[in-house]
Amino acid sequence: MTQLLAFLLCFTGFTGFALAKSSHYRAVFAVRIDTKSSRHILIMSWVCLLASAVVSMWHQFGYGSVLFCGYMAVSVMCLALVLSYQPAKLRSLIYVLPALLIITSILMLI
Amino acid sequence: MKDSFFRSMTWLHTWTGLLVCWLLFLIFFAGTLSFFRHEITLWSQPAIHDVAPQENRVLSQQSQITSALQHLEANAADAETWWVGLPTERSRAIEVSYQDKGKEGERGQWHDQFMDPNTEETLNEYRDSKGGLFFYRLHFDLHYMDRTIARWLVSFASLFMLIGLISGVVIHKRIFKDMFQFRKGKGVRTWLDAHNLSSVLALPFHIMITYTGLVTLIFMLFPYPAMTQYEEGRKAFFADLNPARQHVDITGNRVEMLPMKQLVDQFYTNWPNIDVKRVIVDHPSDETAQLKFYANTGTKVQDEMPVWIYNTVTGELVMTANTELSASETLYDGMIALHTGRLALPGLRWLFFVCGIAGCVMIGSGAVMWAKRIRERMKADQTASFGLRLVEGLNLATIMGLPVATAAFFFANRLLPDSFTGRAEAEIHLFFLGWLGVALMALYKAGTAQWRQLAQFNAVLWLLLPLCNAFTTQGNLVSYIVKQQWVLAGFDILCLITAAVFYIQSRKLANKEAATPATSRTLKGQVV
Repeated sequence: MTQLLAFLLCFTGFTGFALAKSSHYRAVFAVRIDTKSSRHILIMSWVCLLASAVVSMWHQFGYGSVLFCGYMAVSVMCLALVLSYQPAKLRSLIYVLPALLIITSILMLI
Repeated sequence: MKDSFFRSMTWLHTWTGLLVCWLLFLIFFAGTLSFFRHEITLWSQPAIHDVAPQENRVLSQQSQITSALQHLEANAADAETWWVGLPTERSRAIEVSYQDKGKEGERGQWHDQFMDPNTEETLNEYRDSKGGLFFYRLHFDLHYMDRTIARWLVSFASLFMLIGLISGVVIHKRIFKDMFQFRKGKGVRTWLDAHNLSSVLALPFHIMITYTGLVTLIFMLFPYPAMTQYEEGRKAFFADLNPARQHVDITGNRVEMLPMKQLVDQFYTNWPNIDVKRVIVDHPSDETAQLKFYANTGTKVQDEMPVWIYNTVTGELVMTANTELSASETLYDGMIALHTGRLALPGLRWLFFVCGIAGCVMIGSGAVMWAKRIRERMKADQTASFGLRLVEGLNLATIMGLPVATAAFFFANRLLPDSFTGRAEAEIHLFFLGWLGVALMALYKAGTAQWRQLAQFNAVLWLLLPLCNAFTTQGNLVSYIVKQQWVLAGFDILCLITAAVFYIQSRKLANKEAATPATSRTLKGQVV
């Protein structure tokens, strides 16, 4: 469950990085993103990514750091594919990802 | 030298990449498959498919080691070495092997067998096959050539790859801005995006695997510190670094060894909770005989296994090694562990595999892109140069040939009779024959039609592989899923996914061929 949370945080972080760029944001939402929102998304993304790194390496630093690199690779690959072929699908993730993050965190704490 | 730093870096990136890209593709391809070498070995040995997984793996080890050593004592008393591999999370059966005494200057022949870990009885149907070990050795020893030369070649290719990676990061100015960009159906730009994306998404992996790959061979590449510090050079350095690995010559004076059970019990009395991975007896019944217990390092970032060495005559503990590493040993060994990925549990193993595939895509797309760019710059009536045709031929031979060769290797494993003499080598010969066939075709002509034909051929081969497996063994995809044999089911599913990918590729290439005007220069030549 810890590793699922780490992956979800990593994926959320990279989703934020993608949406903070005007070209990708326009492809997903069909409108331009303003500079202020873009900055907020970027900060949130960095927080998620750092949280993912911490969660990955919490139990085993060496093994966790390798896992974290793998999560980053898979996240970028998935996002690149979605943004190239079905960018509108990313819209639903805006609601799904936070929900998944909360559920996974609760399950982990239980 | 070009007139600016950026241009110099672009030149460096292009030529370091292009010169070794086909060898690099082979290294990455075989290396990526090696992450699943135990799983491939399991698939290639149908006799152990139905061995039930153990519930108390570590608790059963004491009895298993005793049985395996007693079996070897009874059947291979005159051997040079006894070797027992205990079941792990990835390999189910006990591997029981021994090596004959070699003739003057030659290594003796190895004989392998499996034991069921539950019943501790030997399984008779051992299939002479290298399995996943072939791909593992191929990625750094190549084949049909001297090992030292091969390792130097692989090292040079890795060094070029490292230079290519660093120069690639430098020349890709918008590396993070373009991180998610993949523009489909835009010709060379699409290939460039595929090249950039596959590089960037697994950049930490690419740098890690290339750098640590060089580190694995560092004492061959850079022996001078050892030669300076030790009078006897590298040999003395290795003896100091890892005394447990030193080879002692057999004397021929036979002695009575203590009973194997007593030796094993003695080890477990002192170290009751050790997860043993391997047990080796060097020179059984010789006065130099030693019994070595190697511990499983699990998910620890450490490659060298802790080892306990006993004298088999007196039962005395001769040496313990690798239980506590110094800071430099930890760094060096950690890098080896990261490269081999032996520490990885299934999740991380799949991430390694995905990143390895990304590496193959990066190398392949770079090579294809170079040829496509040159061809785009050609005038309509211009004939392709020998260099361009060679690159196009080698691209096709490598990118489409290796999957054909791999399928040939797996088909050989299932179709060659068990009684076939030199069976393991025959499988490897068929791998290279398959590759040679594709290479000859590709070097004759490497146009869109040839890419499509090979994509179709690959699709058929990979589709037929699970069927061939179903007809030649007791299991099939459905039975594997029902029995929850996920490794075997995963192998079949991966074959089907590979077949589907090649089918999609062949359809896209067929559409492209249909859309190309008859007057276009692509009909004369070789554009993919």
